[in-house]
Amino acid sequence: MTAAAQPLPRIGTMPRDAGSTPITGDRQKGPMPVTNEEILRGLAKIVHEVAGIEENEITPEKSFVDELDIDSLSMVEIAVQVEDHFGVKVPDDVLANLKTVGDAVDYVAKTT
Amino acid sequence: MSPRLRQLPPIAGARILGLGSRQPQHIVTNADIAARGVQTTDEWIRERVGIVERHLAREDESVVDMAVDAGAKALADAGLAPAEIDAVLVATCTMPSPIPNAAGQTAERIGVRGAHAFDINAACAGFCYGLGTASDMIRAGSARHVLVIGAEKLSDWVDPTDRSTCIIFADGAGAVVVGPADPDERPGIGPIAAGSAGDLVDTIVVANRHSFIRQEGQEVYRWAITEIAPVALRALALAGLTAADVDVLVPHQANLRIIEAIAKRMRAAGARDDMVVADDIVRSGNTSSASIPLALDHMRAEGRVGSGDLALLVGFGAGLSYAGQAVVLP
Ligand SMILES: CC(C)(COP(=O)(O)OP(=O)(O)OC[C@H]1O[C@@H](n2cnc3c(N)ncnc32)[C@H](O)[C@@H]1OP(=O)(O)O)[C@@H](O)C(=O)NCCC(=O)NCCS
Repeated sequence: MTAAAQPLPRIGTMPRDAGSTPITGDRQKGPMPVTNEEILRGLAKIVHEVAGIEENEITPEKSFVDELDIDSLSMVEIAVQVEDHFGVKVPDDVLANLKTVGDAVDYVAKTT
Repeated sequence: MSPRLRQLPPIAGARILGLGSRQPQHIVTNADIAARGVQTTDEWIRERVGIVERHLAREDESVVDMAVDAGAKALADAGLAPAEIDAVLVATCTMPSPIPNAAGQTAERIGVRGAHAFDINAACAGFCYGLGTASDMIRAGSARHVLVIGAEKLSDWVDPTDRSTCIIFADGAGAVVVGPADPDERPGIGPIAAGSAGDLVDTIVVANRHSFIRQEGQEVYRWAITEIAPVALRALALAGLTAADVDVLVPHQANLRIIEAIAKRMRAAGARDDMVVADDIVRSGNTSSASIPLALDHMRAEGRVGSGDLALLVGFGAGLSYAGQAVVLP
């Protein structure tokens, strides 16, 4: 698109040192879930949003890769959103061992 | 008492005056890679990285050859003669040897004499670092017109049998000419938002001069989808803009899934639905420091962006390093 219809946006000049502020990792944390049922619902929402799978398909015994057909990069996106939503850490080595939806629910339950 | 050192009169702002790019002629499709015996498929590559084809340089086509061509086109686009350039910066991490640098050779071959000439190695963030440096040089009075080029021959540093890298990396060059904004005109390059993540230094590495690029794909992927959108938003904030001001988002063309993840986070932060998102990786592969100016030049040629558009650039890669800024397109 061209900006013919709009005025040029204003690009400001730099306040001293403003460009070198380090990134902080303070992401928004969701409310603490209490039951495994709530964790499952939260997880299903995330999996649906990332991979487009119907939420009622996302049940504890299903495996992410083989049954739900979620690839490794979508699993990383799911892990990142689980971290944001539940306030837990899901490092790559843990992620690699979360084979089923139930594994992930149990991990969140014991880590929150 | 120490002597008083005079400073040059500062200039309010810089802007991009012209754009140019160069890709090698030789196109390699996903099927070509699989046909070479690499255990991969067109479908896997399209799904995981979004690349359909990439350009690879011939053996005798160098980083400097591509830089010269892209740089000369950017000069012509800006309507400037080589004699009007006082600095040539080449962002590259794939020179065959450390000296002489690419910038001096490039300047000489374009016909730019006696200019500042130095290389910048911040891998895939290199172009944005170069653009920020050029803008600061102009604002400080150290140069009037700066040629900034991102040029890479990654194929020299990739193991053609390693399916985790040979499907991704490619060759090319892109360039911009930066000059002072007219005094009555607003600056066209915003402040740089940049930094590094040294704790992840081991995730993308060429171990020594006899080695190839090795990367921890998933760690890099996670870092890129979480940490880069905040850098882009910080660049906007530094320029006094918001996500809704962005006409075109140009992330480093690392992986289409990373680009989409960054775009998704920009939309969540208020970017418009009609924001154009660069997807040049599909036809060009990941060309490291060349990817952002290559994408800009291609999108302009396709009519997807136009003069006066607000583009948000953000580069990220080995280091790990990152840099971004808002710019008004020429
Ligand atoms: C490199 C990248 C595409 C690899 O994707 P990934 O999903 O992490 O790949 P993995 O190594 O986990 O492999 C996943 C599966 O695909 C297979 N695979 C890996 N590469 C493959 C290829 N080229 N073709 C076909 N299959 C491949 C693996 O063997 C594995 O199969 P398995 O689960 O049956 O064992 C991805 O990690 C990435 O793009 N990361 C970001 C890197 C980047 O952008 N770097 C540049 C920054 S400037």
